[in-house]
Amino acid sequence: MSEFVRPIDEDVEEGEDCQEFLTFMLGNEEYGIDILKVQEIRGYDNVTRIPGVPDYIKGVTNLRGLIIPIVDMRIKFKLGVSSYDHLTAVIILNINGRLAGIVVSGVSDVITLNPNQIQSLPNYSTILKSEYLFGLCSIGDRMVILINVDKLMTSAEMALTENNEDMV
Amino acid sequence: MTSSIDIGQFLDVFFEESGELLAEMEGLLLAIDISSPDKEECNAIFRTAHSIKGGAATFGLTDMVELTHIMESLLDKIRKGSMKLTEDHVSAFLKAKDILKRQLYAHHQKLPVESNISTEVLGLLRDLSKQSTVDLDATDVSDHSQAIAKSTDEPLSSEEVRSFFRIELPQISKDDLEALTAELALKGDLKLEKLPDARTVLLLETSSTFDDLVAICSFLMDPKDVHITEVSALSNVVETMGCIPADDVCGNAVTSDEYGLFEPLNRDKTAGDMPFPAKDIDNSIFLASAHAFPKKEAADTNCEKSRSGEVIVFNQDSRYIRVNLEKVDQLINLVGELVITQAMIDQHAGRIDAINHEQLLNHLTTLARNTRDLQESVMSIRMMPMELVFSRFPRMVRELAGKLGKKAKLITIGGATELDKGLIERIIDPLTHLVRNGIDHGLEEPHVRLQNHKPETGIITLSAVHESGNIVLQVHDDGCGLDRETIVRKAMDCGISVSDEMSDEEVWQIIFAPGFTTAKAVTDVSGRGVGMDVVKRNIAAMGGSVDIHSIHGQGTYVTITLPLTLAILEGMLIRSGEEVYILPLLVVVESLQPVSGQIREISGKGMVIRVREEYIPLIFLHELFAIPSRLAEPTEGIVVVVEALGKKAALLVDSLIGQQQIVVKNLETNFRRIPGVSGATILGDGSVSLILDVPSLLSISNQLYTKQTSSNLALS
Repeated sequence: MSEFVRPIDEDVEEGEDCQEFLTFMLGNEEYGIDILKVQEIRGYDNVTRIPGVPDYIKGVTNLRGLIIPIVDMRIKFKLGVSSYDHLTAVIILNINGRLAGIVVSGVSDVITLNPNQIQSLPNYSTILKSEYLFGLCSIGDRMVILINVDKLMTSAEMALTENNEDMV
Repeated sequence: MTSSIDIGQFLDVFFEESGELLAEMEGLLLAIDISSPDKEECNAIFRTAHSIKGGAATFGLTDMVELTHIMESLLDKIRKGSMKLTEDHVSAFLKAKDILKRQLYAHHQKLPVESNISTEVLGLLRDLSKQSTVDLDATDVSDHSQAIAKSTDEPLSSEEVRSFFRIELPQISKDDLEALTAELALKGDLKLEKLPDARTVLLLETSSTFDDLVAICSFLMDPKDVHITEVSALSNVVETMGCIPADDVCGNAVTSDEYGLFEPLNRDKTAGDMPFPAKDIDNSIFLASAHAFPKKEAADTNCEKSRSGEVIVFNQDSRYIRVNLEKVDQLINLVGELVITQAMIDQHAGRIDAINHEQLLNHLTTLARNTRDLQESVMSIRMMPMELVFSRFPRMVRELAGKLGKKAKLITIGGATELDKGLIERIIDPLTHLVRNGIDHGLEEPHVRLQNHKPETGIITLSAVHESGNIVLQVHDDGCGLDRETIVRKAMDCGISVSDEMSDEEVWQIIFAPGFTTAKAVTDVSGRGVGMDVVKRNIAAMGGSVDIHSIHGQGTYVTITLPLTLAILEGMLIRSGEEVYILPLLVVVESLQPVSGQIREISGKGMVIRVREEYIPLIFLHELFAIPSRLAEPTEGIVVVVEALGKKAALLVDSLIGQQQIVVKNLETNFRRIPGVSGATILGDGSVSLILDVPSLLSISNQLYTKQTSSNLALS
């Protein structure tokens, strides 16, 4: 038996309420999103610019015949340097059947959290309005900011959906 | 629809659809929560009945109309809440549905319809609709009314077909037997008899057909092992219906003895044990060839049936399959991609040495042809004849003309012209509007027409033709035509800017302005000033355009040009800076290389280009879309003259790349609408290219210049 010692993950307690998050870096900050909203991760490639949209909307790309918008979170939240090469990661999100890609500085980890580990937000202003956030959690000495990606991507602020044409 | 159109072609569609509607109705009825019915569900059931009634009325199937009508009025009360839904209603509706299904089947197979099969259920429904509130026990009522219906019906119903069947079963398990008897009991009165070898014989008095019974039995056992015999019926029924004559049956019974030799041994004794001896007239039942050789029996029965005109198709093959439109669209998309890939291969093949690769090139030619054929047939799935739209108009024209005291005749041309299903549905409203306008505003009163030396009856012509990848629809009235003066005066009243220099075409475009009307009084037909702008907007949304041509006193032509399909369009690829855009070829008039003298600046109006004595506003695509352009001077680029909604504009681009068919994808699926862009496509290299929306580009550029001008003015 002794050779089958399971690695002990102190942060993780298996249970019904546990939720998995994909974490990624924006500059030096680490953010997490519900992994069930993530369809896939791919490179930044062949993005067609769209005229007359905010600068963080990089354009649209062809995802196996579907045309999906690509948003650069680094520009939107003014975090990190926006350069594009074959290592630039794009997380393809599936929000209620609508697809969109977000460009991040790097994808880091998948973490499992139970509700107790998610702290409510301290009442100070972050770059993201608190209405788009779930909360915070700490993994070792890392702090991960959990994003409510549904709310964020459908918000008027992101200008990704139909009801905010007047942005342009 | 009217009788002037051959409705036969729609009959199959009606049968198909009604079958589905009935199935839907049944599903809804079974699912509905009787204690608190959902309003939407009630509406849905109502709609199914209503749709069937509409279709049946069109094809003159009065028996179905009668039944659906009564269902409809009852359902109407229920959905409006003036009557409470009860179990009785549901079971009555279900019964009615079964009857409808049989009527439908009979009509479809061109069988004589049993005229009174609906009597019982009609009575039931009528009883129900008389009760304002139903507080009786549910089953009681239905049983009661059934009993009434039966007792009143049977003595009179000499025509009713109730046949007697003897069903000789093989040895089956008890469970199967119970299931079968339960099922058959639903069909009529069932009696069970045991044979000495433990097999069972069922005697069924039913209005179901032989084939129904075979179908039921075959669920549980091999139909070959079941011997179903029609043992005749009450003699008066036989006579009046011209069914199997009793003599014939008896004849069978006699002749069947001949086959006794071939019968399996274990059945030899059954003849003597027959529950109803053949001569038992007291029961008014003839038993015929009950133990005869099964195959011969079945053949005989079928034979009789065909003789009496009942041709029953055993396997009811459907000539239609209903497919989710999404699947068709996906297919069209895929074929579109294939066409594009094929075009790319062709381009490359052009550079191959033709002598060394003769074989390959030959195959490529075949591939090209096959691809084209494939595309055509796939596209044709979505295509429907314009007749479907046109057929609604004769009645409307008649009624409207009658209402307005005018005389009008409708002529339709090109009903066979096919158009994409999606467009067919969306063209109905605009066309209806134009036809109404034609009658209301266009055609004059009969006495005015006579004064003007025109025939009393005005003519409205609806036509559809294919013209170079487009469909051109025309609504023509030979009425008074548009009156330039009136339009200009009204336009001023409505606050629309007009000038005397405007061409007739520009003046006619005014009638598309929101809120514009020349009608002296608002009627329920027209005159509210909403409509023409909606017509134009709807048609523009379909990628089409509307033009008006009118001669005062002679009539008006309204011409709608629509792409055949929205899924694929012929596009011109243009380059601006590093970016590639697509212009629908439909809007491209010409392209030219500008020379310096051609381009002028008009203060406050931007640039114009003179093309053959015509000044056209020049739009710099790179400025509009903020593209870093390589053009230092407009003369280095190419000007593409485009025309949309009767306006011309010149688009300055870096270069033209070529022309190809593209598959239109919409941006809204995952993103949103972008001004100036109507959609996107995927090019051969996998990159996305945006399709320019010319009408919207024009308005953006107008706004841009107006803004610039006003800021310039502010500065000075």
